[in-house]
Amino acid sequence: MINYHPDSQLLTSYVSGELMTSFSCAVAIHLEKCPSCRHKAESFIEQKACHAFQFEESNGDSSEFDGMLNAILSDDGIDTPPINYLKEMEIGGEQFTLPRALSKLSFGKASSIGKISRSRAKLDEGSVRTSLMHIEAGGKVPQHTHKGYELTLVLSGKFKDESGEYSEGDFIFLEGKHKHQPVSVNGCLCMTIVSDSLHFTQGINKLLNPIGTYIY
Amino acid sequence: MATATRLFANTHEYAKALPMTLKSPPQDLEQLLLDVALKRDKNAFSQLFKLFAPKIKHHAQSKLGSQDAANDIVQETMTNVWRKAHLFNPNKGAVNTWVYTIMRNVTFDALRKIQSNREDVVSEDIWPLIDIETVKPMEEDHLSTNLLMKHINELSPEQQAVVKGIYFSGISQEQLAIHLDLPLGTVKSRLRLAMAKLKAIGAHL
Repeated sequence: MINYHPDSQLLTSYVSGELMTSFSCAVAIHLEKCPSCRHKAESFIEQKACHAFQFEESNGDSSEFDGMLNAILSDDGIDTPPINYLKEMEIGGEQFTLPRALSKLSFGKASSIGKISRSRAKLDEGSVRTSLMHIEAGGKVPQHTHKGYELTLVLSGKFKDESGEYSEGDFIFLEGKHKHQPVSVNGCLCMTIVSDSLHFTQGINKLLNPIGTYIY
Repeated sequence: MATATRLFANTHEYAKALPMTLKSPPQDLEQLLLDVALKRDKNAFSQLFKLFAPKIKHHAQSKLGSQDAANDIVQETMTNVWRKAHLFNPNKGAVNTWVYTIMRNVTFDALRKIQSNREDVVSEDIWPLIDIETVKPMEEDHLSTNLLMKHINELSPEQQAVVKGIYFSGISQEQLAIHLDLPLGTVKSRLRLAMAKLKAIGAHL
């Protein structure tokens, strides 16, 4: 049973393609596991599509695109349905098949401290760091705080902290100064996205693809 | 199937001969896209193109800033619509939404490329266009799909339309009969003949 979900604002930004790659992947993975959020996301994208494509009686002049249209029509090939190869990865001595959204990302070599292993995704997102974190059965993450934010998405297994217990699919987004100490009795694999820098942007903006914000 | 193309041997004349305006309730869009998917209908595609291209450009310009970058998004999005029309499934959502997802994916990859200089295309993994079975490494050979496509392209245009409609667009035989304006029995027998022919030419089904 999934108890922690991305909020509506995050889902809307996700369907519009505005989130950073890391967060887009995390939301995609949650949606694969969560029918109710999937349903919400579908209705958000329908709204976005209706908004982007409002056709009037007269659609103006599209002659500037004639050359493009002819170029497209001159090639009659079609695309075959893509095949998605899932990525297998060993972390913390266990073998995992990663979710589809992560299948083309590259990950660094896992580093382990005690029962905690971490492998960082090569995403080039500045101060935002994305990784896979494996907790072996009985493992404890030392108590820590974040200045920025921390997203933990459970890919398999369970862990708990002072506030509750989390299982596969749970999308736990924590901001600001909170302390927690995750513990996993039987082991788990999570995706984490952490930003420790102080952000000048507020709310959803700090999760958006920064290119968008440079331009505006 | 190729009547329209024969009428306009020169594709440039072809683009000019189309009406500039079109009222477009959703079912019209769906009919147009299915005509592209099943019959490679250039006229239908041109109508979709004229409706969507200006809107896509407007949207892309607000995301990317420059005219040139926006034109690239239009070109890539509409090329995808042309080349992937057979993957559209009318039971899964509206044409508007389908085109939007393609535009969103193309724009996302373009932004990612500017931002991180990474060439890896991840949008397809985050937002797959169709519900496909994901495959564990080494279980499936990419070549076999290409080979199957090659065999399908050897069928007659009528048989291709039926096979692509049923297996790629995922629509029912009844819906296909309506869209192709054929009796259901004809669709069924064409499909049966097409499958027999595919087996005969050695396709692994």
